[in-house]
Amino acid sequence: MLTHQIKSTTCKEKSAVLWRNKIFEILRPCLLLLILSIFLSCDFPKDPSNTYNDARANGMKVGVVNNPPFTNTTKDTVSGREMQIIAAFAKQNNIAIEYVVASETNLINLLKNRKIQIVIGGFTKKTVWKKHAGLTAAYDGTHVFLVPKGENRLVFKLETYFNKNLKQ
Amino acid sequence: MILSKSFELPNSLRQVMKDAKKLEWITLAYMLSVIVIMFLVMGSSQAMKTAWLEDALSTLPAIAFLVATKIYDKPATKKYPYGYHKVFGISFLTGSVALFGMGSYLAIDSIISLLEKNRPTIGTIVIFKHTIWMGWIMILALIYSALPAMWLGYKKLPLAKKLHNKILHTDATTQKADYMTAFAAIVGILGIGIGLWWMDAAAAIFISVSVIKDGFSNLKSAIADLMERRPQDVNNEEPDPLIQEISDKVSAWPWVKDVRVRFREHGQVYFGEIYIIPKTLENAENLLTAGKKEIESYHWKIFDVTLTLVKKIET
Repeated sequence: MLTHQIKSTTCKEKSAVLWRNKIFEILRPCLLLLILSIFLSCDFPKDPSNTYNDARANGMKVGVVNNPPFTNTTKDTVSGREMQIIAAFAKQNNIAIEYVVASETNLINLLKNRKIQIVIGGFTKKTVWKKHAGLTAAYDGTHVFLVPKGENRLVFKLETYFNKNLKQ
Repeated sequence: MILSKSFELPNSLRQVMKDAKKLEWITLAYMLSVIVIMFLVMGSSQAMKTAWLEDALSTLPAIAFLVATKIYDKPATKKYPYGYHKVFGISFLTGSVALFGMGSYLAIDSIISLLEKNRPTIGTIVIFKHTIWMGWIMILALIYSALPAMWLGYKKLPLAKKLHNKILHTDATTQKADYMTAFAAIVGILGIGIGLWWMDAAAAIFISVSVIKDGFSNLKSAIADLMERRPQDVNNEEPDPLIQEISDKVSAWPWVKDVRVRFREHGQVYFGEIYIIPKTLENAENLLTAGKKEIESYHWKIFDVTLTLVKKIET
């Protein structure tokens, strides 16, 4: 009788341990997945050519096409609405910027070869350069910035900035 | 003019046909919602574009089935003495040509996209003032395009087998496998997310190959049915044992010396001939009439049989 009781309690304990193991077995991959997803979402999406992180480390070159009132390169200093946006974006993200003033064709070529990282100059959503460059969302409903194709982190950062600072 | 008799499904199958039609209407409505949602979130991802076109194509079998079921049981006319059963075969052929053609187009398009090193740019969407990467929304849309489709596929499969209906069967099997497309596209999107742009085009190629595969096997089967191949089961793997049963049954009749049978599929039902060498010609008229009646009431799929007396059977 006594031995039987002892046996039964150990049995219960055993089954409790088994249950605990089972729960762990189920939870472990879930936990891993959760950690993974948190880890991923911090740095998601990434740039295939690492443009955004490079810009933060080594500075960024911005191509400017003269197109007032968005950009104005006729004076000694470049000015215009898009210049202000870029400057504020760079400041907020700790990026040093350098401007490259040239013709559209030249700038798009530089962008394709990843010599510069952004091109501005009052481009619209329907720009003819659509095939050759990536487009951000329109910061005012119509006008966009051009970036190298597929650099999704840079796009993400720019659009996050637009969303926080330019739209109500 | 001999007119084929008018066709009605046996009582036990009428409800099955009704259920099948209902499921196909649900499929159509659901697929339309998928097509709209996928189009809205598609962006510049090649994998999404491919998955979207695949979804658009997958409405074809449902449409073909619903159109064909309106026509197939119309009574035979002088112009169409065999009735309208083959409308299933025709709609099946049309659907598979579309599937095969579109699959080939998608494969070429995706390969070009890969070779051109076309890097997909995927932006963001603002939801409740949060900037969210559009890739996540695409993944949600893909999950929506897969799970209900799988459920519908599982629901339709047994109905297709009962009705011996090949369009319905194709529709069910492709939908059941739809999660593969969605999964491949999700992998492509996640690939873009971790900076591997080529995974998008690679996923698109994978999807288009699976579309080509489906299209090709359906095309083969549709052509074979129209070529009046012997009846096969809905998987097109095994010859239908029903034909051997008929042959055995006829040769067991006491007045029959030898017999050969030949059947072909007209959509859901079979038409065919039975050549008989009789032991005696006595009472042949009555025996043949009774025999025809017996065979045609043996199974609902055996719809129209011609019995002929012959002296000798060429093999």
